[in-house]
Amino acid sequence: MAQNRFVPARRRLLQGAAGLAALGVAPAIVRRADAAYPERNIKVVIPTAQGGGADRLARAFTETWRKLLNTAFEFDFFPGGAGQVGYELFTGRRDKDGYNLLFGNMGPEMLMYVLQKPKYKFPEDYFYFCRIDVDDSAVYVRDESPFKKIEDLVAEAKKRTVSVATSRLPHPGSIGVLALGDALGAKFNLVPYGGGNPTMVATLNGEADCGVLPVALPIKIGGKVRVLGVFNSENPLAAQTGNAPPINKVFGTKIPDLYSSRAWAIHTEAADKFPDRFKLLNDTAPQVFKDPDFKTMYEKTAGSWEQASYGDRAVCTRYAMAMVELAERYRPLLSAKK
Amino acid sequence: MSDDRPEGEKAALGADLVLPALAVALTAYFFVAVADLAWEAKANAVVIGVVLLALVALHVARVALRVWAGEASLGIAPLIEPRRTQGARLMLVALTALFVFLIPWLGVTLGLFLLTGALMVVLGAGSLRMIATVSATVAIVAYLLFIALLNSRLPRGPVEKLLAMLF
Amino acid sequence: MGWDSAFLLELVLRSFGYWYLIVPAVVLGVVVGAVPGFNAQNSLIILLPLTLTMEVEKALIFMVSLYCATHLGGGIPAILVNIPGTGGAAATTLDGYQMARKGQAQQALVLCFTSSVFGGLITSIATVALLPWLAQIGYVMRSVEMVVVMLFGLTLIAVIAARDTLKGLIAGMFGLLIGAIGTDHIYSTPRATFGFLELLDGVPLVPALIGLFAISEALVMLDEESIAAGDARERAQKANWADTIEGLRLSLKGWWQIVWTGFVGLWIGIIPGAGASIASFVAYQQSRMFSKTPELYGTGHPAGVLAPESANNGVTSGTLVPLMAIGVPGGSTAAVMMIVLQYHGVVLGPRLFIESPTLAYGVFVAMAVAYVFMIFTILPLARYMARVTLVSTGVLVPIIVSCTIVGAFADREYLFDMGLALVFGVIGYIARKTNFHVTAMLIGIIIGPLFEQYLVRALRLSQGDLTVLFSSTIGNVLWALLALSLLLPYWRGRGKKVSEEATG
Repeated sequence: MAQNRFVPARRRLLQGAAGLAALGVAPAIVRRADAAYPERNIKVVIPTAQGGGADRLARAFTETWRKLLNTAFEFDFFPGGAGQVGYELFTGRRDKDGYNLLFGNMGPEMLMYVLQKPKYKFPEDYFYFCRIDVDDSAVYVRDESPFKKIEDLVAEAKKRTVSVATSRLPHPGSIGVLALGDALGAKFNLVPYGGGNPTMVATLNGEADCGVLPVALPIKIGGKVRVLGVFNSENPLAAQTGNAPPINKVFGTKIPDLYSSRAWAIHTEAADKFPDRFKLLNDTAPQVFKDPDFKTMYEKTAGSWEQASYGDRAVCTRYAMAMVELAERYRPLLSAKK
Repeated sequence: MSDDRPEGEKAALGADLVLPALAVALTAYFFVAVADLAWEAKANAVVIGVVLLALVALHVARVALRVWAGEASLGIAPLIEPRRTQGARLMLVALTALFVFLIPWLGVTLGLFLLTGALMVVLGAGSLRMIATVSATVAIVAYLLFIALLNSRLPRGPVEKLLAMLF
Repeated sequence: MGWDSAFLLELVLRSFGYWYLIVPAVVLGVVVGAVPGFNAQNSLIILLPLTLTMEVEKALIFMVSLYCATHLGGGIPAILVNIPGTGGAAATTLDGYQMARKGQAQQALVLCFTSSVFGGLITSIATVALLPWLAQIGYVMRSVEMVVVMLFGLTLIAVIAARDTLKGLIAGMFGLLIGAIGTDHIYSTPRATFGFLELLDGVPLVPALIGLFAISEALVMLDEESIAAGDARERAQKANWADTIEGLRLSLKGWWQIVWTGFVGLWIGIIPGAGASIASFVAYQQSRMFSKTPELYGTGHPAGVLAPESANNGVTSGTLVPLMAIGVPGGSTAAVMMIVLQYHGVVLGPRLFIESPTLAYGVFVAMAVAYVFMIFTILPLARYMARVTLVSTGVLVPIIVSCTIVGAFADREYLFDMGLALVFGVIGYIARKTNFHVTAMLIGIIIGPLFEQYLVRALRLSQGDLTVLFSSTIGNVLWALLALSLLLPYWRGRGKKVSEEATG
């Protein structure tokens, strides 16, 4: 996945005024395609709680995007059922006219899609077209833990069952742990804590031997935890994670890259029926990454700028389908239905 | 209340069975719903359900014994007494249900004005002027707070649309 | 860092200097707390655009003051109309409303205010002094220990059920089963949701609270002309400042009650995931357990107001401990505060206390100062608030129904929740009229999901081995205390009987 990353070039950002001036012109050119759109506010469904990570990131992103589109964004929050409530509502009850978008966390929400079998279909009903960031799943332990390296942890898990705190079973990180156990014959017992913060507490107080979370959180907690490894082919945040290695590199395993990834989605019907509208959204979204204001906002609200990474429709769909495949493979371990 | 009855009158214990009946219905539904799930997902509900069923069985037996002994009847008097307010009570539930059903069309401002007003009329609360003042106040406060200030998702109706056009 | 009086004095003066933030926040907090459906968390989210633009210290003081005040506000409708403004005030209805019915609404309000303020004040001061030790509580309370803490709360069902054990237990178990609706805690698979997406995350607390307490209460209230009827009405009409003073005297008499239940609240507040509702139920239960007159609880006993109100205000400083000390919010309100702190680039955790002690300790000092402001703004109003009990139910009931049905919507913004509140209103009415205690049901609904979550997690960690529940020292101490608190009244009851027989 790393090759798909669009890491905004810092040099270009530093050129400052010139870059911004170019930005100012760009939307004007694109807008000629459908002069009337958008003539009113764009409404956004967020399938998680108000004040959460998606909320903050969506606001940071639209702060710049609205200038490019010359419109305002309105947010509606529908938390519940690991995102199912928001997605059902978006696909079932919102007008498919390009004035309604969804902002979600692709990884866990695609897993929910496979495991809970909701009424809507992907990608027939909606698709993702703009990935904002890539937050690698990381295995970490508390600072006092006897496990200094990922090898220590796996060696122990070959002797006894090691408990792993996670935010929920249908989550990319949990799948990574299951795959690792499968590949190396190690025994991991995933214990879901229902959210990033409680998962962090469970590892800090030693209730679980280790934890698996999107890497931004252990970085934020700082010195009290040690990141042992990441589920990705490289670790772009090596400097901030004590040079934690990519797990595949350590064991020579072929676990797919597993990360959380927030992205914008639109109704498939809207993109087909109003291609001009979709084109405008699709063309302006990547430009947001070039705005230094967005970089500032991103670092304030979400994580390290290295994690911000644009991905287009093809990248998003490929990722989503990979999640579907993984969920199918691990369904018996992830689902309560026997 | 079921125990505050005059001397000599039989306790109407049918009413005491309504809530347990609801509890049994939920338990039965729950058992069906979790039947094919892993133990982690159903253990809690099964334990609670079994205890609940046992408690209800004891309760039913206790009621049955008292009815058998002629101390009690299966009436539902406690639920419908005092009779003089029974109509108002049913109207309150019906009007509130109607409000919940119609609010997508009425909007919150008009809906609350009508609900408050109708309830006050049903309960015979003072003069028409008083009723109008109180209901208008409730509606205006709701509009200012939920629509004007908080821009909440409460449904917009004719009043909100009209005001949106004016301001 | 050690105890530094000069630094502390500076912090106190600094906080008083922010009176222009504290006073509006307190007023807003009391109002928000008193209206069912609104609470500190959703108000702070609504106010995010404001607090994000303020300086971080000012924003924090504003949020903390508002948060503390909501806990005080929640008790007001609980006492006056038997409708808790927040979940944390549900236990206050048990004795507070009974006092109002007897025409002692003013005394009950004063008890609520003083216990809230002094409970909050004492615990926030204690937090400043004991912070390094308190921060450890979050570490020792793991899933197993939490199972026992939840059981402390659940035993209140049995306490409430004292008059008719069987009915009380049925109500409590029914509540527990309602609390089990929603996705399970391991696989996130929906259970018994009746096909409603809105129930996937479980039965929402606010509509259940509004239905069981407010709407059902409105249906029962119809039978009377006003809340204080008969002799009580006369008493309430004659109410004057003497009643406020009487309330103060009762509070002073119960000072020890306020202190120790405040600490119960502080302790529970520090544990991530617990919160004000649990704290007030546990405090009420403990207060009754150790009381010399347990039979008076539920009939309008002053201690029944002091204990839950002091505890739910003890929670406020507790919730902030894990947030400031380890950077993990203990509850939903603290999570909103974290958003603001992070937005301003504040690094939470032990380093905060070394790098910016003014901010870290200042929060708790500001909290104490907010409580001081609160007592002066709110106490004189008790007399006027108490008049609500004299308003004709023909006016009161429509207002209660209209406001609370919208309040049911306000928390999650689903129309579904209004309908749900009505359904719970009818269930609550049936329960009230047939002596199945609604509070027992509510305890089940609140604690049930938490209990299941901790239990299932502990069992998952042990891979199904039940002995895990007795595997920790602290857990075992808690088990022993739980057994003791259940057996104590029984033994004492027997002792009493024996001595009565001996003397009589």
